Amino acid sequence: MDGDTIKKYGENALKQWELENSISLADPTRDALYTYSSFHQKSLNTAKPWAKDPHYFTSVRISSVALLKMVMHARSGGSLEVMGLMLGKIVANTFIVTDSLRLPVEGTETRVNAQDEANEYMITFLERSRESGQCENAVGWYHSHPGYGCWLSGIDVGTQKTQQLYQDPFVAVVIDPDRTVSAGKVEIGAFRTYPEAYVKEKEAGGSKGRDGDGFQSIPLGKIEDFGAHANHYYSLDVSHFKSSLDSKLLEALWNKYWVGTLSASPLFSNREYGTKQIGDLARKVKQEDVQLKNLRYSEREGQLEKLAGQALKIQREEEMGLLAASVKEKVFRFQEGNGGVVEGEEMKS
Amino acid sequence: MAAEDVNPLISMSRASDTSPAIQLHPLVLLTISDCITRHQARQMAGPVVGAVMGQQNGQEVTMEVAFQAKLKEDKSGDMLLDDEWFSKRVEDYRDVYKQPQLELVGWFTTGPPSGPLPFQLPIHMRLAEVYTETPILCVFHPSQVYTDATAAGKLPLTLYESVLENATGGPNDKAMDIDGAAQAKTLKFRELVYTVETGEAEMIAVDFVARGGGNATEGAASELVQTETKLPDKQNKKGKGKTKEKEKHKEDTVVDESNALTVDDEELLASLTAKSNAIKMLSRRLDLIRTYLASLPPSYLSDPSLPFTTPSTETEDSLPLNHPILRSISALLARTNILAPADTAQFELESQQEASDVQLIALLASMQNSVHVAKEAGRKHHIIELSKAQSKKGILGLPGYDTSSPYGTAAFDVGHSRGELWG
Repeated sequence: MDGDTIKKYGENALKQWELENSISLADPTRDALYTYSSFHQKSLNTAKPWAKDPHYFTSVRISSVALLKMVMHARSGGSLEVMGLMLGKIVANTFIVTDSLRLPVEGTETRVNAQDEANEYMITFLERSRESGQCENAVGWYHSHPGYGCWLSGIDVGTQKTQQLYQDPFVAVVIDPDRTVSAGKVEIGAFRTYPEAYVKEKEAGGSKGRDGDGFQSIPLGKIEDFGAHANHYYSLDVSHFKSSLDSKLLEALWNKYWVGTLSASPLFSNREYGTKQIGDLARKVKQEDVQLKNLRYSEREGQLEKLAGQALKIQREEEMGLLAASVKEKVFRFQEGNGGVVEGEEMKS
Repeated sequence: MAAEDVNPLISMSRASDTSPAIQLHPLVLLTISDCITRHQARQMAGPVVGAVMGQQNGQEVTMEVAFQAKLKEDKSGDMLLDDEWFSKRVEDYRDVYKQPQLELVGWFTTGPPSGPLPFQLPIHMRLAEVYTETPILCVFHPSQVYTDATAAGKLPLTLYESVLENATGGPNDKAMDIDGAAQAKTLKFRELVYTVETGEAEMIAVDFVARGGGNATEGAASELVQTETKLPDKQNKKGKGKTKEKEKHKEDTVVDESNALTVDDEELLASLTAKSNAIKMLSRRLDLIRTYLASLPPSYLSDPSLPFTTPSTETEDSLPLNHPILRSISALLARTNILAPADTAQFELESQQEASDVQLIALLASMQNSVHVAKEAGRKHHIIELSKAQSKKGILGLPGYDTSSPYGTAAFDVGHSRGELWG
């Protein structure tokens, strides 16, 4: 290959490469969340609309990459709690999480100073990210509760309160990797704590109910911790988003695992999880029964409703599993003497 | 040789047994897509370049995580990695990905489908020097994203490994190696075959993101509100009397409840859509097989009047006979018989048991709900009776009442505590 052809190829190559890169893959409207305006963020930070309203933030939107990373991190910790940081920005009353990073600490539920250890790592990592052009700020932290649900424990509440004092706006996200795998869908929750003054106000005002945390089935072992601090925080809606390019690629990936979707048997694979849920519900109902007989117990309002809700949730999951099984039966049912190919014909017609 | 068409950097040889078998995780693909989207949305300059980390066990290489890299231009205008920044960043990642320990296995960038380009070489060689002997180059092809091929399942990503080859011609060159004389070797790239692997949790997360995810418009919060107001119509169509009652409640309750129903309805819709897509896919594939079979030349098996020989492939409308394909189709058909459950009666029984288990749970759930509703009804009844009793006695709105009243004990029977009412 002589020098001339290489040179000619070089020019062509450059042109080709420029052509490739000029293809617009990001749609300005549909991918608006991927932009970042430091000016906008700074002005929000000076205005601090959340300082006056403890309920200012109502939702969290997480990008596909951040979500995937967090779920995989939570899973990789096994039964040890893991922790990490989330980067992003604020838009109106929503936290937008665009990326996440792992922190080198483990077993975070029993230690108060876990975050301090990770501090140095965090600072240098963020600095390097800024150098490379990724200038988002930290907007929250996430950690995992393997097997015991998405809520904030006493230590978590303490950590989050401190964060909200010094690093606001900040949000706490919890992921349960075990339930994710058993239920077949991502178990994730986002929370913000109330400032001390607000909590006292609430308690003095005599409201005993929580602010709609949704139906949680928390193992009886952890329920004390849950109940003790439940008044100190509220949960935000979690939704996720993906870019138009992500959608295209996921479409392509889907073609690789559609087989899994059709052949899945959720009734079998989630049997253990379902049984655990039912067992937990049964124990709670028994407890409720005992406590109702004690006439002086005045905090049982709404408990029955919660139990009914929980039962409904279990029922729905089981029904989805049955749906999958009956779909499979309809599609692949073996008649006498016919094979699966006959079904193909029926489907066509 | 048509030099302009053929990329001189592509090796003429094909992937051999010594080439690594690559397992790509979806996270890498999504990270690349994320970097590109961000790059374009924020209109940043320069190429998109990043590193890929994974595990390398001999011939098996996995690619599990990726991150974007900082570049700098050196004096000759070459695109290079900022070494100091890069090495620290790799360390950062190695610190947190300890079980299993991940290493740098390659890097990614964007480029045309024809292959790697000369100015991408310096980075590749630098990585080969410092980090790993055989870095894998992943080239993402933006031009292929919106093609039918991608919609059908081919990812717009090509992986290359680098090989050192003799400067003149490929390994088939018959020139002899003269002892003592160093042959000039150039770096060439060889395309690699890769598979997409997912772990359990990864699969669920990817599924979740693929199915549900809204798009990234900023006004999405207001969109949510819109769907909520549209909901009462949807529910009325389904004829659920419950929702009509709920609409009369306070506004927040309506929003909360509508949300609860939306999420479940949405889930149901999403899973049904996913299943129907999967079935359509299956049907398409089966159709493909049938069309192929139908377009083959007629043989003696279907039409006894034809001669007892291999049919000619010169007739129009027929494809050439491809024996390997025919063999696989016949194997597929043979397998479908094996897949049928051996003991149909037992299988039926078990399926029915499963179904009745699910129905049992539904029954229990509705019982639970009935208990709750009955209690509510009792409580309300108690309140009403009490106020009736009080108005009869002529005392209005005074707190505290006489437990010995018959109404009081009746209330306990229904199961509601006194403290509850007056607390």
